[in-house]
Amino acid sequence: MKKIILFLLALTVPAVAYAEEPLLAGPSWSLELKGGMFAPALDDWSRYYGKKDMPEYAVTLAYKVLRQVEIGVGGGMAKDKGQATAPIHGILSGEVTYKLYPLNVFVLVRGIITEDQWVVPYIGGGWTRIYYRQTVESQGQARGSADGYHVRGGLQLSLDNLDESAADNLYSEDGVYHTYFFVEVERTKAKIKSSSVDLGGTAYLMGLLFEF
Amino acid sequence: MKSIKSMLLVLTAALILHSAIAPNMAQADEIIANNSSTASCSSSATPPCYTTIQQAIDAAVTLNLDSATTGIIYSVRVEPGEYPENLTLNGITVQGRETARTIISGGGSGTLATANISSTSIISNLTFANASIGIDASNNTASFEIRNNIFRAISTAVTLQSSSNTTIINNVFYANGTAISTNEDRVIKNNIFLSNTAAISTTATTVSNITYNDFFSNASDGVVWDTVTNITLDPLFVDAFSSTPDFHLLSGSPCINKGNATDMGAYGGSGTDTIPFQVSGVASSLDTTTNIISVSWNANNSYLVTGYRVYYGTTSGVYTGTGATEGASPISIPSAATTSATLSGLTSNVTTTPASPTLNSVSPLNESLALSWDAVDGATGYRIYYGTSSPPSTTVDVGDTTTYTLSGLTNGQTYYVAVSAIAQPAYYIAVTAIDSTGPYDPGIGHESAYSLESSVSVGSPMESGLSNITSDFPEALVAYPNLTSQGPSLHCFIATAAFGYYSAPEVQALREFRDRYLLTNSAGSAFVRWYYEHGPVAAAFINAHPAYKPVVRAALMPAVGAALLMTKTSFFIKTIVTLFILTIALMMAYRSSRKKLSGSGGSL
Repeated sequence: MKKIILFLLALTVPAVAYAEEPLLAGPSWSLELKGGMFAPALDDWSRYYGKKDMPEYAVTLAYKVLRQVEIGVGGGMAKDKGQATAPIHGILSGEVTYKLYPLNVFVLVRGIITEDQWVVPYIGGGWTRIYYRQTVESQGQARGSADGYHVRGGLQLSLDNLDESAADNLYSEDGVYHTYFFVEVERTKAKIKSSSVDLGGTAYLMGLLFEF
Repeated sequence: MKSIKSMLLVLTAALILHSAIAPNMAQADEIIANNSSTASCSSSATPPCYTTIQQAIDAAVTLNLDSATTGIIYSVRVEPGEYPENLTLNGITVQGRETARTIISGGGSGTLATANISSTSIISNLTFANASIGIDASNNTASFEIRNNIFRAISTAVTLQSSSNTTIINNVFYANGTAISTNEDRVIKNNIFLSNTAAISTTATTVSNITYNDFFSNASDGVVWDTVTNITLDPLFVDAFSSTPDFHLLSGSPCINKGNATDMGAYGGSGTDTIPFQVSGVASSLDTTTNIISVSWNANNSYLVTGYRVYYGTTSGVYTGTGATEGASPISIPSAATTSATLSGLTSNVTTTPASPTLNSVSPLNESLALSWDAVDGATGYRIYYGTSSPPSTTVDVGDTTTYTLSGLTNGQTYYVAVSAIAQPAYYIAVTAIDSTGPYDPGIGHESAYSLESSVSVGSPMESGLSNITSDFPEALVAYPNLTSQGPSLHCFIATAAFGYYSAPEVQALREFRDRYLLTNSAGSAFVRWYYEHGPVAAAFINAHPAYKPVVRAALMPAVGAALLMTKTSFFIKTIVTLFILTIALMMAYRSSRKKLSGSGGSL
């Protein structure tokens, strides 16, 4: 994970250097719609939930302070169902529904050098609050939140170059400057103070990015 | 010899004539559209069946490309159901099985059917509802007949612009915006227009083809019609206003036989379906003294209905019962006014006791046990036995299921559990309405579809022996990760420590008081925040010094009592108890002040 972050960081360095020379008037906002799998950073997760990860969906909205630098907020949801333990019996019993609602505030650097760039690396991170809801069959719900941080990075592939007429239409009708397909890795750490349980984990996401 | 020559000549001529005509004498065949979840619908079946009408139309279009060689022209027959579709008819004839129950709905918007035809076709025996446009038949020159349909709650039911060969015959237009919008003088005949904003909106300069219609209670009829054949009287529908309206005509309706040699409305003319409206309100009960089952239903008031048939059987949906004194199923009721019947002499149809089920698993949950067992042939339900000793004696009847969670148990207490199978003899009853014509076939011809089923238990249930008896105890579960709620949503720290466990009744009372009377106002919330900040310290002290627990429990009792009073009693009891306490307090205060005064030598 650290190597990936360092690699993406290195890729974005030239763009940060270019940032002092603003590009022509461009988009001010970016919107990400993404989904993928979230693997909790809990050692025994798969024993209780059957597999090592669960589906996650998220959306972010960011304002571009510079063409390459943006600040934004994002929210998402991850949900899984598993089993609880009957501790005296020493067996798994009863259904558990586990839901996480991560809320992120972030700074992101996109390695944009030219507007018609095919592949753009990006990296960012920021503050995270994860709200949790854990419902145990016949027993009720535990709810709360934990604060922490996240880092994420990925590569975005321009779709404008694949279908220029569609890109032109999106710009003329909806004001969308660029559309990208992206893949990213996100590492989140958010420990509950009272129990030191880390609600974070690693998410592998893909989605669409609209710059407008 | 001459006559033989003549015969040969005639025979030859007939053969030539037949061979010339034969390719043009196309045979009709049907493709079925059926979206019922219980139907086995397959495109490879005979006849082919599709789950949407449009799929059936498209299949018919494809097959009709070969009609010149096969000699078969395909149309679509739509079985009863609700079809949320926007159809393109493409010249295919589409006919519903039963007008009232074959519904194409649009959810308030869209065009339900666009004609787009180049060949002669018909759309009939359907109900169009809740859309912007029902049928758009504009710009078609081929012959197109819209007949025996019901249009209700549509902005524009039918629009005909420049469609010179479209006719609208024997339809009902009820509660639409504009029933028919056209720019031509089209044949509009035998229809009933009731409670539309505009019946016919036309820009045609002459309207000589609008005949034999009934216009009643429309905000605007839109045209000046021929007053010789058209009428303006209440059509007297059976029930136009319910959520499942019945547009058959009541006895005495002015529309009976006042169309062009037929009735006006959707149930007149040669193309009408012959299926009466479904009977509603079927109920049944057993007189245990006489062992007679009484069946009742709501009358079907259509003037065409002449009687009913009462079906019964021992399996749901299978009405092949025998043994009633009144006869085998179905029993004919030859009067439309009769709305009840009896079935006597029917006895328990269960002769064998079901086998004992096998209790497969008992899983511990918090204050509960989850059970599952194998299904048993012939069982109509199951009975759970549970208790703290074996064999268990407390019972719960749980219906026809193979899983159940016993709740309200005590954690740590061992319970013995078993299950038995129950076979409750029952009869299943449905009623249909019939006309005078026959032959009868439910939902097909001259007989309504079966009503909703009513069932009645007959005789005592047969119960199997007990399954294997299993014992287990409930316990609180621990989830992974073991998360707890934050903030004031779970813990009454001190009370939990004093009473020993979270779900103690005293702790629950305090928790309920907190949720209902403290967290609902700012002062109470502030107190709860303060308590949750400092409570854990006191709770930790109590846990570390168990000897103090009885003292703390005693000290908490007034608070527990007050919480129980506030949360578990009626307003009247609260008032009485409050007044009583206030009275006692006032009396004590009075006595105390008297003592002080007498001690100091004063007087009141």
